[in-house]
Amino acid sequence: MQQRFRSLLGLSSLAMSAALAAVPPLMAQESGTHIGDVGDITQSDLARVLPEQKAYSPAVNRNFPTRPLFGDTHLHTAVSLDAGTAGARLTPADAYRFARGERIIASSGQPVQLSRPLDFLVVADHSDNMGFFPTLFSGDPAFLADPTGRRWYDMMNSGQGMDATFEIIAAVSANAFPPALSISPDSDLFKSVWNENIDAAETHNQPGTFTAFIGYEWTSQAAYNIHRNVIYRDGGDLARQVMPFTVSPPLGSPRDTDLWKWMEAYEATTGGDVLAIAHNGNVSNGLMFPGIDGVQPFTDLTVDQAYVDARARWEPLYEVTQMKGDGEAHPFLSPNDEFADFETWDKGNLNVSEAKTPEMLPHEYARSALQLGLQLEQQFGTNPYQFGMIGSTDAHTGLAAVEEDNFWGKVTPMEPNADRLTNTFLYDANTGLTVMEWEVSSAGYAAVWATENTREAIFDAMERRETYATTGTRMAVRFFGGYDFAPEDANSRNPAVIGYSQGVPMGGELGPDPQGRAPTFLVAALRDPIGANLDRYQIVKGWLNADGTTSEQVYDVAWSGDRVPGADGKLPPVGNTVDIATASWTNTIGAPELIAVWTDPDFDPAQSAFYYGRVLEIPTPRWTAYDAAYFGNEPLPGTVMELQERAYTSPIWYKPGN
Amino acid sequence: MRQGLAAILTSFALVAAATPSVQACVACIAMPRDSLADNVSEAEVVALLRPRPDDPFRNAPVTFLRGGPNVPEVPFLVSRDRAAALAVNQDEAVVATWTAAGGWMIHDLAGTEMKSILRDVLSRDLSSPQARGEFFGPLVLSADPALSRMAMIEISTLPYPVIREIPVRVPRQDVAKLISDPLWADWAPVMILLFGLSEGAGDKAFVRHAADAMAENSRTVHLAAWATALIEMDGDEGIAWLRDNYLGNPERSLLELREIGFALASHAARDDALGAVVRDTLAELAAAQPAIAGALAKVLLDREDWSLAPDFKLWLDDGLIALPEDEFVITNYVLLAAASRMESLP
Repeated sequence: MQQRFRSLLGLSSLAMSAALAAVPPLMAQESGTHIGDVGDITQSDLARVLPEQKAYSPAVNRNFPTRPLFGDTHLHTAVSLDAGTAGARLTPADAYRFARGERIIASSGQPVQLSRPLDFLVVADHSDNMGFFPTLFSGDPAFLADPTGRRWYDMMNSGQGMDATFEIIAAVSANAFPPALSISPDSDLFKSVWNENIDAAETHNQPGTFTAFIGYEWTSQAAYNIHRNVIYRDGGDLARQVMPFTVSPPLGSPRDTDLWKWMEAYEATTGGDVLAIAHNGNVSNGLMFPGIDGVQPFTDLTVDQAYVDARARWEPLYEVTQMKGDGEAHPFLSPNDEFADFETWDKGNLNVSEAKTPEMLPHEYARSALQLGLQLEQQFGTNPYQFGMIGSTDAHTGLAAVEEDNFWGKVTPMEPNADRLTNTFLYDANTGLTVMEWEVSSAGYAAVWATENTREAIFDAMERRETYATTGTRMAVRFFGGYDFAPEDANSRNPAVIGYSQGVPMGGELGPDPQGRAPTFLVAALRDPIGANLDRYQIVKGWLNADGTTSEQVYDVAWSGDRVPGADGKLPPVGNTVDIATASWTNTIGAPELIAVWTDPDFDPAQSAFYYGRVLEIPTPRWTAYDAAYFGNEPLPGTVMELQERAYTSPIWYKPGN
Repeated sequence: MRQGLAAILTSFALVAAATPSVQACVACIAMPRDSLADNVSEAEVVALLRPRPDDPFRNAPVTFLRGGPNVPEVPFLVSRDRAAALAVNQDEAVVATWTAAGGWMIHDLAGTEMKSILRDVLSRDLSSPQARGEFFGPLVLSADPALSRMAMIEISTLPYPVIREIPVRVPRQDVAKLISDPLWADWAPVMILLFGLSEGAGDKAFVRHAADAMAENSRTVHLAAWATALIEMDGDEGIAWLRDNYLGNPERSLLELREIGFALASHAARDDALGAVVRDTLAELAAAQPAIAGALAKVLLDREDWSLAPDFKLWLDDGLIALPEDEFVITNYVLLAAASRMESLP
């Protein structure tokens, strides 16, 4: 991630003087500067030619994001070895077409289409052994020269694909993969596969309409999910110059610090720009977010200055919600948060071969990691966990489809079928821990406040953390922090103008107010146009106490109806219209829009803090209810059948030292 | 550590820990070598856990089936799904074991039936394969998945002659579902072996069809298990079919022949007329394909089946075994067979 100041950092002044924003930069220099053969120009001349006058159309020269762009930064296709092994046959090109709204045929043979197109997509196939299946299917001569490759190819082409898959799984699992069929990053085959993925992105990237990012997943320590998705701001001309980083030695490494070195080298070599996004701390068994005196994953090295600096530099975002569970908060860590237990996967590590202990949890969830970040910042001067929030799917089907009534599963065998309500997804006979397919979460999407739908604009918004996560809904959420918001600002029909002109958006930072006032927050949410009404808008605050410990508090700041918080301070539930039998609900409760200005009542100007928004929809049927109604089968006891979809904004950090 | 026939017939070591890092998404569920019964039997403390009344996120023993109560605190989180299940069913608990060397381990949820079974495991003498087969065999069809899986792991460790005596008939649809799901690839051979004990005409046709398909397409996945089932169902005719389609076919790969060798070896200890035919066929196969002799010897060694020791000694003496690693395991097999004979002398 290159350190650059992008135009939006000065949005407040630009928004207030829109006409000036249209002036080419050279002309806006100091008066008297000679700028070519037009002679000298003064400020008075300039004002005469280009008066600072607000245009009639309020949209003219507006230089801030006006609508969120929704997408997925974490999608696998048949190019990923595990996806292909599980039966995925869709290519990156298929995935982009589907994301753009086209109807396609899924790997299971069923027609599939999104309710509406996405705005962007990152195909993030695993870099290790990238492209094994497409290469096999293509009958690549190098593969066919190997007897095993030839046999698998023949089986695939003679209706014995399942048996070939069995053999491939066995070979991979037993580390008995034929060397001739391994796709090493220094091979021509790897280069070819990588170029094909890039070609697919280039072909489907339509600036202004749909953004197809180039990316991949670096998949270290699979059982503990120390993974990162690497996303390029760049086009293929740069991305082709350096092969993606892998995990397997000798060319790869399982250490995140080595990935960051690779990122630095890529940027130095190409002049390009990349960032990395971690995910699923909830199945890392305490490894994802080391704290003070913590150990860097899979090393004996304690967290040090270099580690926190690098992590802060390269990882501006965290994928907080996806199919393998929601990672915002855990009820053990947040016992007073009645919404903390949402799509929780807290049994153990990724393959449930190791059970979880409560002591691991602070190092797994976003809210606790944000608090750890405050502690680390106090020690090192850098907050390694100053990340914004996004959601994504991690689907291994080529289908970024996570609407509850249009959920296409984590892997191809989980594409809609009558058995997925009762099938086992993961099981370890030693621990007895089981994950059923019904526990897979239909989530999530990344929402980005970008000024336009291009790689550059979306990437830049990601870098400045102007993003939020949703669990699959497409509600629009604003979150601004500052010192000058007043209650009447909540009456505005254009809160963004007020928000950008008087404060900072999600992902930003606040320093101390010279007048010593408590920060105020302008929050607004608009429901998904075809989704459910909203229950409430909450602000989650975390802060660093004087003794070095951290605390957290959840505040209800806007809600539907005339509910009144009880004596315990809790807002009563919004109600429930879900009919599980028919998988339906009504928008007769909740509100289509929530907006408020909130002032922190417990503010201590000496305490570092973060604030982020959480917006809840009213209860709606979960995908399991839609499946039960469609297939007419009986779910297992304990199956969760409804949920409250939600969004998490990137935080705004208050820094006393700023 | 026991290493049973079905586990070998699987022919794969689908061990999750061995998977390369790219396996972010688990593609199969490994069958472990030790079952819950093994863990319970070997533990110093066996406890049933439920959430602590004062801290619902932490477990506390409510019953000790063995040892206790002076043991270290259970470190594990009560996961949200288990908390929900335990809240609904007050009779359920989490099985946990403790050893001084390994500390605490948690296992499956236990309902009334599982608790009863575990008490039996701790009180009965299940040291012989026969006893384990009798005890665990019927549980393979239990509606409790934890019990069924425990039984499958147990059966996978048994010698085939013991498996043959298990009075369980597996429904065809169960086998059909299991063999078509890569997730359970590691577990399918157990069900195929049990299915092969059926005497139903439709079931026999199903096995023959599977064998035909495997031969026609040169498939090797679960080939040993299907061939074992074929011999079980068709006897001499099954052997003849294997001769025609595999031993007599020069196009067959070593991998295929090795699988057939495993199937023959599973029947080699039979003391009926078919046993002699099997042993002759196996000897013929090993002589024709010395490259698989080592693998066969390992199977027999693990099963402590010494029936082919004279044949192997002959091949060693005749210099038929080319590879040093094969020679090593076969020599071991022959020596241990001799030692076994010595031990059994009056």
